[in-house]
Amino acid sequence: MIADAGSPATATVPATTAAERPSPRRPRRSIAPVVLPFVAVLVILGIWEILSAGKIVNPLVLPSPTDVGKSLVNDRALYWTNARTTLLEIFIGSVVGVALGVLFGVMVALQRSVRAALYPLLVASQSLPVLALAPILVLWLGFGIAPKIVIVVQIIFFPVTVATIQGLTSVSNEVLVFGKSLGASAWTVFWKVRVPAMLPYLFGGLKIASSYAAVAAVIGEYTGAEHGLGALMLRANSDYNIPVVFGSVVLVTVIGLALFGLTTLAERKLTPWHRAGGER
Amino acid sequence: MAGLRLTRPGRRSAAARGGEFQSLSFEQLSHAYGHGGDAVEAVRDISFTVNAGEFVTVVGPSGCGKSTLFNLASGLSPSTPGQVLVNGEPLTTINPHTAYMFQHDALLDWRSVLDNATLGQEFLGVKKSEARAHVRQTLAEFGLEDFEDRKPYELSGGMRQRVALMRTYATDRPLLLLDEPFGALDALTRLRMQEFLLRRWDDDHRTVLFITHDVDEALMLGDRVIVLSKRPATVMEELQVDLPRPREAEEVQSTPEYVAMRKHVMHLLNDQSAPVAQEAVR
Repeated sequence: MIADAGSPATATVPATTAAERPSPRRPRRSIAPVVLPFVAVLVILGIWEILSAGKIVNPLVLPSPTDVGKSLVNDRALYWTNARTTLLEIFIGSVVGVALGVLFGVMVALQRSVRAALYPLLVASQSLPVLALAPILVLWLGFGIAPKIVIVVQIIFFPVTVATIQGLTSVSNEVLVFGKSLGASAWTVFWKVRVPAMLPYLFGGLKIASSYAAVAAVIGEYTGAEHGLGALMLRANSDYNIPVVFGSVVLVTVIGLALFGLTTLAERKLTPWHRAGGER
Repeated sequence: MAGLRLTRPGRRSAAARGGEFQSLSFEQLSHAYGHGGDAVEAVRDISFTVNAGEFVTVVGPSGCGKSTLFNLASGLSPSTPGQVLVNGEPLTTINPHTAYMFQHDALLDWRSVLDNATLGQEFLGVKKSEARAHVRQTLAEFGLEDFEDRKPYELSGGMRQRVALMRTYATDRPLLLLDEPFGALDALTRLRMQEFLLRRWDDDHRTVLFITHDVDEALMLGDRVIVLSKRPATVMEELQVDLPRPREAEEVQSTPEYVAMRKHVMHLLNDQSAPVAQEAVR
C-alpha cells in the first residue's frame, strides 16, 4: 500500500527521465522469410518435374511443370479470354461483397434492434450450401456472370461483416465515456474513433475474403458458364487436355495470391500502427 | 500559462458552455444497478461537496462503487434517489463541466501524442487544426514536447498516462474526474505522476475529484479525503488534509500528522464494523 519513496532524487525527478524514454524497437529483418518459400516451391516443382518427365507418373495424368508452362505461353489468348471473365466476376463480386459486408456490419454493430433481427440471418447465410445453390442461381440468372458474382458476394460478405462488427465494437468503453461526457455526437465518435479502430479488423476479414474470392468465382463457373477459368478447366478436363487444367489452376492460384498480396499491401499502408503496435 | 489558455481567441469559454463552475454536491445519493431482486446497490446515501479549485480524493476498497460516483457526477447515469447539484442546481443533463481520465489510458493507437491530446477538443466540436494549436502549447508542461509525433505504442506507461492526462486537461473543463489514473503504474512511476499532477494543479488549480484505493495517494494529493466503505459505498468520513503545499512525498509522508492520518484511514478501511471515529485527525 505504501508507495516507497525510493531514492532522495525521486522527489525532484524531471517529467521525462532517461529510463522512461522509449527504447528503439523493430528488430532487423532477415531475408530468410522471403527466400525460403521460393526454395520450397522450387523443390516441389523439381520433384514434380522428375516424376512426370521421368514417366514415373503418367504425364497424361500429371503433366510436368514444363508442359504446364508451355501451355500457359502457347495458349495465352485462350487463358486470357477466360481469365478476363473470372477477374471481372471477382472484381464486381468483391466490390459488392465488401460494400454490403461493411454496410451490414455497421448497421448490426450500431443498432441493437438491427443486430437482434439480422444476426441469426447473417450466420445462416454462411451456412447456405453454395454448391447446391449454384445451379439454382444459374436457373434464375442465366449462364452469364451474374450468378458467379452472387456466389462471390455470398462468400465474401460474411468475413467482412463479422470483421466490421468486431472492429466497430472494439473501442474501449473509456473512450466512449470520455466522448459522451464531452457531448460528442455519435457521428464524431463513429468517424474519429470507431472507423479507425475498425480498420485492422476489417483488413483481417478482407484477407480471408480475398483468398476465397477466386475460388468462389471458379465454383460458380463450374456449374455452368461460357467463359471463365472454371469453365475452361471443366472443358479441358473432359477433353483430357490436362496441361490446360493445370494452367487454369495455376492462374486461379496466382489471382488469389495477388488479391491477398494487394490486401496485405493496403493493410500495411493504411494501418501502420497495427503492425507496429502488436499487443492489441 | 493558464491565463494564456483562457484568452486564446476562437475558443468557447467555460462560461459559454454552462456557466462558471462553482461546486458539485452529492446529496443523499444512492444508486443501484439492475432491477428488482437482481439489483446491486453500488452507493448508498452519499453526501459531500466539491468546491471550485479544490482537490478532493475519494478512497475506498476496490470495487466499492467509486466509479459509479463519477458517472453520477458527469450526468451519464441518472441520479435517483438523491441528487447531484452543480452550482446548487440539480443536474438533469450531462454535466458540462467535467472531463474524465481513467486507469486504462485508452489512447488511440493510430493517433500521435499530439492528436491523442486533441481528441477531447475534437469531441467538443473544435476544429482539428485549432485543437492542435491549442494542445501544442501545453506539450512542454506535460514533458512531451519531444514526443509530439510519437505513437502511443512507442511510449512507456508513465508517458502514456501523461498523454491521457494532457488529453483530459486539454478539454479545458473545470472539473477533472480522475478515476484511479495511476492505478496501473509501478510504484515509482506512480509517485512521479502524483508529483507531476500536483505541479500541474498548482499551476491552474483546476477542480479535481480523484478516485483511488491507495491511501497514500489520497492523502498526498487531496485537500480533503472522502473515505468510502465497501459496497454499497457510504461515506465513512470526510477528512481535511491540512498538509502544506507544494507537497513532496518524502517530506510529507514522514511528518507525524501524515502518519497519524494514514493510520486512521487504514484503520477505517480495515475495520469497517468498528464504530466510526467522528473526530478528524488533524
